[in-house]
Formats: sequence, C-alpha cells, structure tokens
Amino acid sequence: MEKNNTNLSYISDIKVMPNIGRIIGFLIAYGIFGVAVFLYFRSYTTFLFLVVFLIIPFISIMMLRSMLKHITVKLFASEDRSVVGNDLGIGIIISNESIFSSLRCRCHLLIKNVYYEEEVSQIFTVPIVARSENKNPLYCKVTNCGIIEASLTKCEISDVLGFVKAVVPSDHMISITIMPKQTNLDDIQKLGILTGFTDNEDDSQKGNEYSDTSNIREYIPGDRIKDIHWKLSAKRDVLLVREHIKSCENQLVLWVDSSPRKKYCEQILALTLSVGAFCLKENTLVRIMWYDKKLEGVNERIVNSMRDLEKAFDAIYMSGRSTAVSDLRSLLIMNDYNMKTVLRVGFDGSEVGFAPYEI
Amino acid sequence: MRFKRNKEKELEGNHLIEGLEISGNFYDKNENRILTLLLKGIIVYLVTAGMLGGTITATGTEFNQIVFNVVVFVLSMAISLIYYNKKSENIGDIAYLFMIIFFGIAFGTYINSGFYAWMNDVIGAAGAYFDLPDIGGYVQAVRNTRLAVTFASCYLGAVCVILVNMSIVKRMMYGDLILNAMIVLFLPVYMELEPNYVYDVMLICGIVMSVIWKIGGRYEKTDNNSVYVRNKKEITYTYCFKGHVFAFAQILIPVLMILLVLYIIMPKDTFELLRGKSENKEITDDIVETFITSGFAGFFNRYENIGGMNSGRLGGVNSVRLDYETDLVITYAPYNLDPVYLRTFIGGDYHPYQNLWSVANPLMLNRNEYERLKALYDSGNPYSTKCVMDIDNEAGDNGEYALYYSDKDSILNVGRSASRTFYPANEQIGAYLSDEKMTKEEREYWLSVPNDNVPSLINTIQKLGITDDMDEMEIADRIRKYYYDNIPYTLRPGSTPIRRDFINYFLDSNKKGYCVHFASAAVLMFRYMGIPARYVEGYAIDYNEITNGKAMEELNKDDYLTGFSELPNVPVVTIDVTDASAHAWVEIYTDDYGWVQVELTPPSSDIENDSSTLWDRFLKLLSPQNIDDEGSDESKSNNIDTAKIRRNLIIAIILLFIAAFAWQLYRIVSWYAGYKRADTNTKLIILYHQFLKRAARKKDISDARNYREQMIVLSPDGQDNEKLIMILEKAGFSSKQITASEFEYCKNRLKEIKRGIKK
Repeated sequence: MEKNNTNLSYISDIKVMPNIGRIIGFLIAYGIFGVAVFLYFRSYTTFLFLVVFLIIPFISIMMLRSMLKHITVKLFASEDRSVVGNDLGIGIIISNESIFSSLRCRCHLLIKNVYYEEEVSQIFTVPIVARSENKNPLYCKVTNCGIIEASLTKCEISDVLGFVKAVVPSDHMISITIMPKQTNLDDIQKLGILTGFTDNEDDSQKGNEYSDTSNIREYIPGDRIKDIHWKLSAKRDVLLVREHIKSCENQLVLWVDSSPRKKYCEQILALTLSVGAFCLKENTLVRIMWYDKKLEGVNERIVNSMRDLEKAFDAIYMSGRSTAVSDLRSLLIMNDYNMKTVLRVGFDGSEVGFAPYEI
Repeated sequence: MRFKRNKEKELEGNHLIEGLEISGNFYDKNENRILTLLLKGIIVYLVTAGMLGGTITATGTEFNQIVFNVVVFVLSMAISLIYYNKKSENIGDIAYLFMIIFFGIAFGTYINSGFYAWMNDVIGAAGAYFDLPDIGGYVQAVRNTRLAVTFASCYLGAVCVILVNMSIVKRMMYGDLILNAMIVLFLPVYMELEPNYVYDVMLICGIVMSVIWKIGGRYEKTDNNSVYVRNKKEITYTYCFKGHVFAFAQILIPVLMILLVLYIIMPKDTFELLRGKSENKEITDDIVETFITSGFAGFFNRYENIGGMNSGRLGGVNSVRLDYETDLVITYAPYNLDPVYLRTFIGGDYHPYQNLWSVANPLMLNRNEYERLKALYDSGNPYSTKCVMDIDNEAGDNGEYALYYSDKDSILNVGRSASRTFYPANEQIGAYLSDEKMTKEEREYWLSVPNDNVPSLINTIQKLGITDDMDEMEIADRIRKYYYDNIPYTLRPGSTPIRRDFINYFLDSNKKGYCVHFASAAVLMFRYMGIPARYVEGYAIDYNEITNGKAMEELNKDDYLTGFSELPNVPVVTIDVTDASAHAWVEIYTDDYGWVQVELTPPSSDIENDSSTLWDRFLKLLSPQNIDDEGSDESKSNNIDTAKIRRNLIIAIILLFIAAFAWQLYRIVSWYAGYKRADTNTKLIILYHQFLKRAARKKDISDARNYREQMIVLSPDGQDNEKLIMILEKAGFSSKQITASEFEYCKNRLKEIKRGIKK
C-alpha cells in the first residue's frame, strides 16, 4: 500500500548542511598533519597529497549538489499482505539519473505496528548508484500480526567524502497487513463448531428482530414470507422485507476477545481467522465482532468471502489491541445488540479457545 | 493514538519491531561479494605497491618493476579473497603464513642480498645527504643485484600485503595506511629522494579510495552471509560493488587529472628548485643519522658504563644516563677551589676503529711529581701541602683512585676503603720538576698517533690558529676555545656508527659529545703537535659538590691537611661522589711540572638540570634571574638555551589556549548545528535545557524533577506558567509539533524568567 514517494527534484526545502565534525577533523588533519609534514619534509609526494586533498572536497561537494536533482527515493515492500512466518522484504528504492554516486544515504524510517501500538525509528543506510534504480531490501521474517506502517521521514545524502549532507524531508509511507497463520481447517471441522450452534442461533432468532438485517426493501414476489417485516409494513402500508447480506441460511457470530497478554492475542487472532475461513468454506455467514478502542464500543464486520475476512482483520488491527478485560454481556447490551448467544474466541484462563457465550 | 517508543528493542539483535525480525542470515545473491572483496584487493595493491615501489625507486635501486607489480597484485587479490568467510579466512591466513615462511627459507639468499643491495643504496644516499664519507655497507651474496632486489621487493610486498590488508578489509583504517606509508617512505623522503611518480599516483589513489570507502560507512566485513551490518544507530547495507566503482570513478578521475596537471606544471625538477631547505629537519637530523648509520642499535648503549666512561672503551654510549647513586664516599679537607681529580684509568695507545684506549704501559708512567712535591713539603716549603683523603668505594669500578699527586697506590676494589696521602701542586710552588726530562722512549710512546686519525687531526688543527711560538698551555687554550665555539657539549651524542672511528667521527661528522669525546680528540691533537699527552678517566669533584658535602667538625683537620691552604677555615668534609662526577680529561707533560691535568671539556648545564626536579627546572625557567647574568660564556650559553625553552613554553601555552578555544568553539558550533537541524519541539527542549543549566547557577533546582516543579522554583510568581508548562510538555512528550507562535512564546517567557532570576 504505497501512498507517496519522494522525488527530490520536486522538493524545494532540501537543506545542504556541512558536516561540522568532519570538516574540523579534516582541517586539523590537513593543517597539523598534512601541512606540518610537508613543511618538515618538503617532499614532492607530500606536496601531491596536499594538493589532491585540498581540491577533492570541493569536487565531492559539487557532485552531490548536481546529483540531488536527479534522485527519487521511495519505500517498497515485497507484498502488501503477508502471513506470520513468511519472509517479507521492505526497503528503499533509489532512482538516480545522474552520473554521480553517493555511498551514504541515511534514510530515517519510522516503523509502526498499528495493532500493537509500537513504533521504532530506524536509520537504513544505503548507497546511491549512478544512473540506476537501486533496490536495497531489508529482509525480514514476519513474526506477529498487525499492520506494519513504514514511513520515510527524511533522507540524509552525503557527498562521497562526507563533508556535507543534503537533508531531504519526506512523508513517503507504505503499509503491510500481516495476517495470522491459519490452523488446519480439518482440525476445526473435528471440533464441530457449526453443529448445533448455528441451529441454536436460528432458534434464538424466532420472533425477534434480527440484528444482521442489512437493509429493508419492498416485497418482491418470491421473497420468503418469514422475511416480511410485519410491523414496519403495517406502519408504512406497504409490504417490506428484511434483506440479508447473503442468501445463507446459517450464520455464526464470532466475538474476538483479544487478550491483554500478547502471546494469547496472536493465538486468538489465528483461531478467529481459521474459524472464519472454515465457516466460509462451509458456506456459513460469519459476523465478526470485537471491541474497538478508537470507537470505545463494539465494531463488527459481516464476512461473506475471504476478501471480507481480510478486511475484517484490517479493521481489527486498526482498532488497536484491547488491553483491558471486557464484560462482553454489558458491552453488547450497552451497544444495543439484541442477541442471545455469540461464539467467543478468547483466553479462558487456561488456554485459548472458543465457546458459546450466553448473553 | 499514542505509540510507545521502545528504544531498548531497537538495539536487540535482529528485532526490528513487534511483528518483524530482520533476517540475519540472508545474503542478496544479486550483489556479488567476491567483487567487493576484489575491489578491496585493488586498494591493497595500490597502497602496497605505491609505498614499497616508491621507496625502492626513490633510492634509485634497480629491480624488475613488472614482476614486482604482478606479484603484489596477485597476492593482494588472493589475500582479499580469503576473507570471503570465516573458514576461508582461517585456512587462508595459515596457508599464506606458510607460503611466506617457505619462500623466505627457499629464497633467503636472494631476499637478503636484495635487501642489502637496497640498504646499501639507502646508506649511500644517507652518506651523500648527511655528508658521511665511508659509511660502509652490506655485502651481498648474490651478484645479480637486479634479480636479488626483485626477489626482495616481492617478498617485502607479500609481507606488506598482509599488514595493509588488515587495515583495509575489516575496518578500512585509512589513517593507518597513511601512517604505514609515511613510515615506509620516511627514509627516502627525509633524504629528499622522491619516489617514482607512478607510485606516488598509485599511493594517492589507494588512500583516496580507502577514505571514500570508510566515509561511505559500508566498510565492515561480515563473516556470515548477512548483507547488513547493524549497530546501535543504523542498519547499513554493506555490499555495493557498483556503488563503490562509481564513487571511486567520480573522485579518481578528477584526482588523476589534478595529478596530471601537477605533473605538467610542477614536475619534480621544478619543485626541487622551489622547495628550499627544511629547517625543521635539522632538529631530527641527529636521530635520523644515528638510525641510518647504526640502526636501532644506535639508540641504545652497547655496554654498561659509569657516567659514560668505560675504561678507555669509546663510542658505545648513545646517551649518558646518570643514576646519581653514590659510587664513592670521600673525606678530606679542601685546600683550594679547584676540582679534585681521582684517576682510575690512564690511556696509552689509541686504536682507531676499535675505538679503544689501551691501558698505559706502567713503565711509562712518570711518578716523580709525587717525590718532588713530597720533598718540597718535607723541606718546609711554605706553599707545600700535605693532604689525606679517605676513600670508601661503595659502588665504583675497581681502580686506583690516584690523586694529584700521590704515591703509587693499590687498586681499591668495591666495598673497600683506603686512605691516600697526596701533595697537591699549586702555582706558588713554582717549577718543581725542572731538572727532570722525559726519555726518548717515553716521549715516543706518549706522542704516538694512529695514521688513520691524521687527516682529521690536521683538518681540525688547521682551524685552531696555532703558531710556532705557543707553549703547551696556550695551545690548550686554543683547543678549548675551538671546542667552546664549535662543538657543543651533550650527554646524548649518539653512539659511534659501526665501522667508523670514534675520534674522526667526532671531529668531522658528529661534532658533539661529552668529556670522553673532547679528551680523546684533544690527546691526539696534542700528540700530533708534539706535546706528550694521555687520556685519563676518573672522578672530578668540583667545589660545588664540596660545599654540598657534610662538614665533619668532629674530625681533626690536622689529620687531613697540613701545610699551605687557601681555605684555612673550611673543615673536613665528607662527600658522596656519584656518577655525575665521572669524567675524562687530558694530561699533558711539561718539563717544569710533569704530568698536569688540562680541562678542555666545554661546560654544560645538562648534569645540573638532570639532577634537579622537573618543578625546580620549571621554576628556574620562569625565574628572571636566568637572564641577568651576562658575564661568562657559560651563562650566556645557558641563557640562550633558557630563552629557547621559554619561547617554546610560551608557544606551547598559546597552542594550548588555541586548542581550548577551538574546543569551546567546536562545542558551540556543534550545539548550534544541532539546534538548527532540530524540529521545533526539539529546539524548544534544547533551549529549555540551556535555560535550566544557566538557572542552576543561580538557584538550586536539583530537587525539581519536572517542568512544573522547576517552574515553581524558578518563577514562583509567574502568571503564565501553566501555558508554558503545557507547551513544554507537548514538545517533550507529544508526537505533535508545537506551533511557531508557541515556540516564540516559550522562548520569550524563558528570557523573562531568566531576567527575573538575575534580579
């Protein structure tokens, strides 16, 4: 997910700054060491050294200045979405159309895991090669779920002798969603989670408003009688039916109860994904619900396909990891959810698992 | 959403962030590590060949340069490649070492001969530069010098490649390279011998490449297959062959152009005409000359000695190191202000090149002075004196310790004591030996001069301005004056080079020394001019030491002195005689007085300075009394030295101030640079810290632990403290940037508070 890139030719606020320490060091070395040695020896060899080292700093600085106009820096990731346990490459792509190089381009990265709400600043030093697009990958192993956001805050490009550096501000950003690793669907099947539970869910719906109604529309011949919203039809004087997202008879409500403990959190997400995927395979509608820290309430997604499942995880990640133990019953009542049972995926005090939760 | 910064985790091994670990064992196959290592090999080659080839060509030694370059190039590449991984490094190092040993043994004769041939060229060049005739050289076993030098250069190249590679492959320490190059090139460059231009260019290019590589920051060698190097601050993408090639090219092309232009507009010949003479080198000429003529051995004494003396052995002392331990304890009653001499060694024949005074033939030692002076004393001469001296040999050499003039004395060994009776001569007594003449045989013995020394002696004597009508003492005065004016006294003259004669080297080349040098040369000069003379070693105790002695009031002076005395009120004294009193002097024979001692050694403050503490010397240096005595030559010489030292001290102090000022300036500039570079939040925090630092000088804020507590202490009545604290907290703890107006507000508010504190 790429949002921007940094083409230095379009940036007007590049600051070229002297590297004070190096310049002072050079002057001391040149003055005390170089000139003193020359005055002592009066040698042709030292004379050549002095002349060369007097001129090349200026050449080096001029080369940097002319190079800056032709550089584009951007972040890249080998994939937008990855799975825990996989390899992932993130890094810097530097395109340089000039004939000059720099061996020191210090890219200041701010890397965040949105779900775990952690961030680190990291400098990634890469070379800039003349007349080429240089890809400098940082190969990583994906270990935890979340959304990894890497942003390039600034680049410091030094001349080859390091006397000056151009500081280039940037806001280029990439984002990678990391999905948990699914457990074997056959294992889920053995647990028989859909047997009885979806029926139970159906039973619980009789005579009640069902909260997964996504839309109310006029009756079309062929619609099921039980879908007619009698109360509303009476009020509006027209037959209205409840419309469901999917013409699926069964539905599973999953409550993702993320744990304050990080290691269980990963297992809960993995189990949620596996159950969700299993349900989709079994043609069962899944409704994933969780506590959203940002909303300070319940958030939910109806999952009709793997794409929906991934989007649901995006939303879970963006909500941030809940670190407080929640009272599910009061939470659902408070948020006007009128349901009797959900399947809670969480940590039960001894292990991570799922169990029906009577509301 | 507030994110938790986890700095500790940034430093952990491969951990990047929750969810991502850097693959520590991944190598990007697109980047060819071998090429990177070969590139390092090219630097090794350029630097090694540049400095070694430059050194050999500078001295004009002929060798096969193509073979040399090919061998060094191949070895440089090979030694770089063995660093491909840990295993190849370990095996390669051992294999390379065995190869060096094998070739060293197999071609040792060629290598030695080649090295000797080059050294002979260096010595020849040194002879021309330092004006050292007949400096000698090494004998080569292989006649084909070109072949031998080629072998030697290749072998030296193979050794240097390892050293250079160690500096480059792992750490890219270009400072070490420059230092190594300076060491290797030192001798030819010092002697104004310039390396071949091509080697200059190679060396410069190699060093420029290493500088670029080091500054580029991707120089570290990774033993595993990781393409990254991670340290506390950053992850560096290590291998980049193409990047380095382009970076080198973009700098080396202008460097080569500069060198080409210099070659055209300022070739070596033109430079040599313009460079002039380096006065700074005069300071180190002695050291370099000692090194070239005697090697490192020249900096060490070749034998143990007391105060530079070793019973007639000469030239083996590089510098006289005094231990100031008591050698002798003497007890006597001083009778005048002249030094008292205790003779331990008398030299007879001088052996040139062996640099040795043989012990004088006992049959040639005229002892009649004692008899005559004793007779005069016994006859009641009013100016005659009879003295007794108790000598306790605590740590001196076994020797006679004869006094002027005492009877034939036995050897006084270490740990023994003896009492000597002697009859000092003085001017008032007059000629006491007028009817004694030296025999022809004796005269010939005491006039012998080796032929090897004659040219040097003639050369020196011609400068003395001696006329035929001068007597012995006038000639002695001339020699003394010559020494005073031309040859400085020093306790660090350097040892005499092997295969050189001590006296010739002293008179013609080195022209500095201590008493042994002055006395030895003077003896031969006297002899050459027909005055019987001999070299004497022993102890000379001057009046200053006598005054520092312990007065022995309980001893009866009459037991130690009877007869004439210029110092009738001085009691018997006991003096600890150290190696600082060890001395060599000349005795010449006059018909009227027999053997008399002649003091020709110029004065020096060295001994006195060495005996005082550093603090004493410093105080003395700063004392205005140093420059008020203009009377004697000695004090003039001392004053000149003191003035030099004072000037150097002032320069050193000024340099120290400049360095301190530069350091402060650097701190201010780097602070300012950091401040300018920072974002607004950081700028405010920097300003606040500076404000706190200054405020802490006026008020104690050590207990105030946060902004609020600090403000309560510093501005208890402040109306707008809350706003200030809020902005500071935002700047310090929030990821949001404060606005420019907030920054200005805080800046002005802090100024107001600062003023308030001053009031």
